[in-house]
Amino acid sequence: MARLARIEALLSGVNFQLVRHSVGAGEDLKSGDPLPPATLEKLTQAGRHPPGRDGPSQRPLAQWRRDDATDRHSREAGSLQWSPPDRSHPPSHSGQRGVATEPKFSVAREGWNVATWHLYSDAGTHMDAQIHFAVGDETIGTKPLALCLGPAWVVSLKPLNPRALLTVAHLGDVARDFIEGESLLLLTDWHHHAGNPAIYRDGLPRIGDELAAWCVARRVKLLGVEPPSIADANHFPQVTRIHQVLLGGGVTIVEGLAHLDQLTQPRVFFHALPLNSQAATAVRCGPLPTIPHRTPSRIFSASSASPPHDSPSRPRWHRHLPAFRHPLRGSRLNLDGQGTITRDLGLTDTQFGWVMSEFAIIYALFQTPSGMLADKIGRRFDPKNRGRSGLSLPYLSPSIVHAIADTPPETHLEVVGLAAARGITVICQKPIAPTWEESVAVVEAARRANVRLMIHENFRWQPWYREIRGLLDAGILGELFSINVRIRVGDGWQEDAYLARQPFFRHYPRLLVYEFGVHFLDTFRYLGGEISSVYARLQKRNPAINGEDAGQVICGFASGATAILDTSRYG
Amino acid sequence: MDARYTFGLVRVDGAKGHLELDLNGNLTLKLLGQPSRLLDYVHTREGFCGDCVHAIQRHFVDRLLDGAPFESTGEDYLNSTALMEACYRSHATGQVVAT
Repeated sequence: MARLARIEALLSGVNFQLVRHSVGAGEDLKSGDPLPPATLEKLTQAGRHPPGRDGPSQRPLAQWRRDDATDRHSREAGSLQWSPPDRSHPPSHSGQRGVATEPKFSVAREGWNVATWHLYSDAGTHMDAQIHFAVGDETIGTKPLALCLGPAWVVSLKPLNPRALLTVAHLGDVARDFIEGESLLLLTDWHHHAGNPAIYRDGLPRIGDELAAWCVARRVKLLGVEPPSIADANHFPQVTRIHQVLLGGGVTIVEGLAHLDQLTQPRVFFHALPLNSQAATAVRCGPLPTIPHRTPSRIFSASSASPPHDSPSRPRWHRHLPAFRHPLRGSRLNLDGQGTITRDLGLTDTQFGWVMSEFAIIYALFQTPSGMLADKIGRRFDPKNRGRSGLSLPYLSPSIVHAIADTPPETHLEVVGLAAARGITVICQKPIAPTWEESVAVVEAARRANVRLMIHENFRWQPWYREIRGLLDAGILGELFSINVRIRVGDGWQEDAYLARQPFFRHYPRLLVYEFGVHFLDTFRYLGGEISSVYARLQKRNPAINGEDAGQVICGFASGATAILDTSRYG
Repeated sequence: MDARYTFGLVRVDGAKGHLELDLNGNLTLKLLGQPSRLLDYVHTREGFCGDCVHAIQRHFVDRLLDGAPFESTGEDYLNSTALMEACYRSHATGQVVAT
């Protein structure tokens, strides 16, 4: 029963107008109906003999009740390709050249309906690859998908005379507001002319040399147009030149779009997803716009060094990995019900059992007994005041591939030492250790054992800093002059400051910069590179605590830029 | 208003314009001579501070699996630690400290 839907999807993706115009009146087809062989024959005949040339005997097709998933998807996501046809205009396909089909099998003869399609690579809605105009090795199959999607401006150029030469001035305010790496969709309603090749193809609006150069200079990612070409299709040197400028300059061209007028927002997130074909010079593509609502703006992904954002739907299985935690701080491991975890992680019951027992084994084997032991004899037994983590090496499970040292800084040297002795990768909470010497020792212990050590410095991973870094990398701000950060958390003025959340803060001899400010010093490095000088003034505003809780720091980047941290936990 | 979302205000100035971050995670771009505009980007109230803990742990797991370098290795983070130490030296001496 799905066959018709599949065929329909093919047709709608390629040349739906043919179908509408060619099947006899009175045939009320809907998804799920078997396709009569005679109808298939008509469809395929229609593909070979465009109805426009067949004279007045053609009658319009009765309405299809298109209620299948393909149609729903197309309607909701707002497909911009030649499907479905614009119902306000007579269906026509005369702009859709290069499409032919022939029946291969039929239900009557072989038991299923299959047709062979002959597609010109530039038929209908399509995108061009560099190899199309020999300006590079890129084929459609090698085009990175990052170059096929992103935020786009919908620029209305209406009304437009046939053969108009498009210039930067046509872009209006968009030329001013455009940010490098974004895309342009030129709204011309040109698909309305599809029934008239004298206008649709021969009279199409042309991208001029100036606009093409501007697109390259401003790093337009995708340039989408409604006509079947961006340049005069009858003037080969011009077609070649404009395509070469754009494709050679890294602009992805999408031609033959339709229904841009149905977009209601001036900015959309535009996808043009090509068929994967290594040899293709150009290929039909399925473009989809979505209205931006917190759209991922990895606008600058092509030139940004920032890693791509996580999809929120990805399983967060690492959240359930066993973690070592100091008994003093209590276990914060929250276990979901088994159903949730196994669903999220795609685990079988057996695999889930291993994960859970690994956690239980670790806890049972060394956290509990070594904690009890440490309670009794820990400090007395260890004259060097080690054993502060409560972990002990002999019980470390060989199946553990990494250790999480989310214990107080004074235990990190020991935990990292334990892991290093077993060759286990470690993720270590910041600060690395209470003193500089011990911090170096922690790093050195991992280095000597040749184990990987990552510091759990999370502030630079805040999404706004990732975004800012992307913008800086893309050159949007030009040379970096300064970074100014003003922090007022307002949680440290009371007599009982920090008692509820982080009581040990009250006793730290060094508090603000050691525990908190280092986040921003690290973020400064992430955004602006290495820092070569520091000037700091620190204050203790709350007399109830031991260390400083406010301060101003001026950092000089090696580049010459400046970063200013102005922070207080007091007010 | 959650003071612990972005923790504060940020302004980044460059040769072509500036960026501003507010307490709600809004990022505004103002290029020289142009009106300011709000940028579209993903940030979530889930987790801590835009879910940055998830992001770094995802990074750790990904690099654990593919063997590529971590962004914050121990060696690299010693540079940030050195800046922290330099702040205390600067405060104690009243001098600019070269790092």
